[in-house]
Amino acid sequence: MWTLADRKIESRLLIGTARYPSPQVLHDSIAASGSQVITVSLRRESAQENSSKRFWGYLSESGAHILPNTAGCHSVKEAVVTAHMARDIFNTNWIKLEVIGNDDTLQPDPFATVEAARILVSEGFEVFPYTTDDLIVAEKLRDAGCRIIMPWGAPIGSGQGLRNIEALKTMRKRLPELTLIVDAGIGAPSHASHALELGFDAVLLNTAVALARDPVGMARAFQYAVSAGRTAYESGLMQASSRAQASSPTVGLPFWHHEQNL
Amino acid sequence: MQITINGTATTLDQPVSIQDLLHRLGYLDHFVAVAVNQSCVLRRDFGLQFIKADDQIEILAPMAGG
Repeated sequence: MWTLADRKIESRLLIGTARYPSPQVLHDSIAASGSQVITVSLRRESAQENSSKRFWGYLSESGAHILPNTAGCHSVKEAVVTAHMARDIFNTNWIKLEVIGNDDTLQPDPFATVEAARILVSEGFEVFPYTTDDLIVAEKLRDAGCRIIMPWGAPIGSGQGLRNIEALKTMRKRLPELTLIVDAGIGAPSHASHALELGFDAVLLNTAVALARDPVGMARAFQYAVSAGRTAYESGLMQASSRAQASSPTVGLPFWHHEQNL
Repeated sequence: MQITINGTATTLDQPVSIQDLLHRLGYLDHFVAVAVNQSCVLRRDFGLQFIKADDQIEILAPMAGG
């Protein structure tokens, strides 16, 4: 068990709900992942559609905590209003804060993200800000009152994994008191495992599961990877060395080794 | 009066509450959040807040997201 915001949960995998081939596959993937936190968004819906009702029914069945996002927002005002609407409809103070600064890279706008975070924290939100691996931005978000920071591994949906491992390591080392979740860019279970091995508290991903040939199988693979990565971190990884060191004992080697040295 | 709903201009013949507007538009059993002029209107206030001319209304619903 670990504590995310004020909630005790077991899984360290947070999962998105977009781009799945069908609602049933989404439902089964969430179950296979073991995730207890799922992300959702708010979008315009015409009166004729009402697809959201079915979607919401699927999510409600999962029993997972809902983490609404402000995806698609490009300004402080848009993000704050979307957060207010999400709080009202989902009945949660959790908000995944995204303020996009560039539509091609989907890179977050760090200045607007910090400003929006400051407003939302003052209004009682538990803000999960999506940011880059920049330490200074993370420190500004902490100073704004965020207890959770979500640096990217790589751009959203790119599947490139952890592009700047040293920056992520530094962030972990410099912000030990915060909950750090790698969000975005995870493409393979090994990427997720690596993030947990580095001491990150959790990972948030979507596309790597949704676009897999078998999303349910991939969700299960991520569950194992996250668990393995965390267990490895808690067990203490060995120090890497530039020199080879024999793993078998050198004392008591058979005679032919001694003869070679004569 | 002229209002805008989800980016589309619409005409109303008389002032109505947000709740009435949602009923008229067919959102009766929808699970939606509403903002008017970039301010969230709480669901409990749907019956209390009335639409005015030139209001910009956003009606949003839960959707898949990452």
